[in-house]
Amino acid sequence: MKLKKLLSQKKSEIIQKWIDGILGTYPADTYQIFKKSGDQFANPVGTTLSREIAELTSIILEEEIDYNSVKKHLDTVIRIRAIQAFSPSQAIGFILLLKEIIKNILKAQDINLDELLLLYSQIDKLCLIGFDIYTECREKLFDIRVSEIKNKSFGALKRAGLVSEVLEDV
Amino acid sequence: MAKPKEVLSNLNYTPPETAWMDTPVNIRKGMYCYAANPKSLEALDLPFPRSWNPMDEDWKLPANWKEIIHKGFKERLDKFRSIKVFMDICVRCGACADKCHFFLGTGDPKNMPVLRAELLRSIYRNDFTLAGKMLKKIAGAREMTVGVLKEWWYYLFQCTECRRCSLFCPYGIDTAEITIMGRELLNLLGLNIDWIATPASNCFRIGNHLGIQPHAYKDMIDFFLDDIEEITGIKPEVDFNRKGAEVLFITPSGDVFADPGTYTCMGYIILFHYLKKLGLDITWSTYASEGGNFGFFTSHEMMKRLNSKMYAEAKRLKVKWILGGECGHMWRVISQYMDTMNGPADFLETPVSPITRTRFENAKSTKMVHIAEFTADLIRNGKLKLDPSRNDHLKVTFHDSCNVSRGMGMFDEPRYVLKSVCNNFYEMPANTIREQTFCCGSGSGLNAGENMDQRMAGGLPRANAVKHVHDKHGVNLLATICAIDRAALPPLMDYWVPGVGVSGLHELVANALVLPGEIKRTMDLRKEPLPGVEEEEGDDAE
Repeated sequence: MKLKKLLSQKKSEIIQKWIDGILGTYPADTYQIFKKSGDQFANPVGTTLSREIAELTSIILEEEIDYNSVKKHLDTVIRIRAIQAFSPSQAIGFILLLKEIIKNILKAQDINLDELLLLYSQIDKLCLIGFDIYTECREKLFDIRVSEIKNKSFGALKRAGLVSEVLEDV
Repeated sequence: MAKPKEVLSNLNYTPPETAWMDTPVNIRKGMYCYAANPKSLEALDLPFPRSWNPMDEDWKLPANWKEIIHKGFKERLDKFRSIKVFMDICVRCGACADKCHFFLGTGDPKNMPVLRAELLRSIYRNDFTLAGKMLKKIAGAREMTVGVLKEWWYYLFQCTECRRCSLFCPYGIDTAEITIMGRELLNLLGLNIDWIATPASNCFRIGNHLGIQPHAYKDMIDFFLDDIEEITGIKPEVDFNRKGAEVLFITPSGDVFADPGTYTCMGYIILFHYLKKLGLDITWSTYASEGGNFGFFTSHEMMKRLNSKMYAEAKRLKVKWILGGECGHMWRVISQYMDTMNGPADFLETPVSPITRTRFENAKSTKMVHIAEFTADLIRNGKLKLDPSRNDHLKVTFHDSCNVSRGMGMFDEPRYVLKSVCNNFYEMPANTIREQTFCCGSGSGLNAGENMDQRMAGGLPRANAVKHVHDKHGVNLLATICAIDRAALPPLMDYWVPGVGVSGLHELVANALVLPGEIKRTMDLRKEPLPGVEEEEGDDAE
């Protein structure tokens, strides 16, 4: 794929713009702090997002996309955004920013429409994977909440001797 | 119909840029706790008990609410010199801005400690400073409005009072104290959250957060004794409310009623049984059946009230000193406030370990010794027979609880104990432990269920560091010496680092402790089989 080879030459620019785009979804003051490279423990969100976006870009620009790896890296990013102040579309919408970045980077004469549409479809697929991950994360939160309540109320009944359980020996 | 190009060019995920004062609060589901049950407020004599919902436009405030806040603010500025100083001296250098776990996790600028404090300072300037009165917004002042009040409520209950920010403040501003005062002001209008008000009320009326009555408390301990017998072949004895005992033991009720704290509680019982023959004379109380102090998250007066019952019980039972279990804010209250609030406890004696004769000079005023310190002293003096290999299937790291580490400076004792009872111990990175530890994200009464997004965001920096040692060393257990941590960290791990369990320190101590006359241990305190230890064939046949 010529297009991907061409884009690979501009990989660092794409990564930079994509990171900038995703960090730009945070308020301006937060953007400044998340953007600062610091160590991964002092700035966990900024460094994690930057690292994962770089990894994702490399995978996407491969001739064959390894969707298992995509899922792993997307999970790390979306798991964070799923509990922050974003609507579902905002939480995963950063994936679509890549289309615009690519569009702006390419010169008109470089564009092979078939190749571009294929790449766009691949990005769409990422978005669908992202949708699954987002839903899994939210379901996980609800599961956690339900088990907390269940453990508390059932535990209290059990300890008060109000619950009869089937004995192993019966 | 728009062309794809136009649709794409309209993609905009950038939030609108408005200055913080012009950005109204947006109370989001999952980020706040439910309002206090009016009955709980009544039981604590707190004003304006009523049903209200944070999502409603109308919070049913008293008509003169502005006057109440103004008076309350003034009273506290006069009473607490520290608050006056903290209101005046911040130069907004930003050193604290990126140190708060809630800011790092949520990315919400109003969770920067400087800005959270500014929510109050803006009103302080407007109401109490000449520059603020004259120059208003230019001097960073603004009028108190319902919108500001809601902003206070939303963000003061997004601070766990962990004090990490204060560690980095060049002026030593303790932002936790600002939150504490802000919450006091909110309480003047009946704006507490239920996760704080109801445990505080239960503790005040019954003796512990859950409102467990004495007979149920005893039943629960009996239940542990049966389990201990099954695991070790030995059934210890525990006595309650015994007058004349040398030592009173007080622990958070979470240890008695909430897993995995219950295993830590079994750990205490096993340790005390071991020490009995060595001279430990200890009793538990079904009245002072709570170490935690949710009054601390309400007001100074409420904190004092709940703290006093522990000492009243010590006086009633005529013990010599108090041994305290693995708790967080109980220790912060003891260490920072108790002495000038209810102390000094001069009717008690300076604690001396009956086993090692170590005199705990550090506790000569409060008369209360932390169990990690007590056990570290036992191990240091060779009084415990330990088999750390029983914990060999565990790769352990240690979470410093904010209250015990930053709040009272205890860093090495729990580590010393851990390393003595576990062979595989790995520290998390230096800027996430000891003084710089990251909060669990659920402290100061925020460990409710309805604010799960908030808890997961607040705990993100802590989980991020745990993930690092999990990936690097295969760490599978996060040990901690705080009951809130033991309740809050399992869900946090479940979301961010599945595969890492949570335990207290004394659970691991008791797993390793070799009791005279015990049966061969084939399972740990959770009744999970010990890997590599086969049950002897004869055992099953019996």
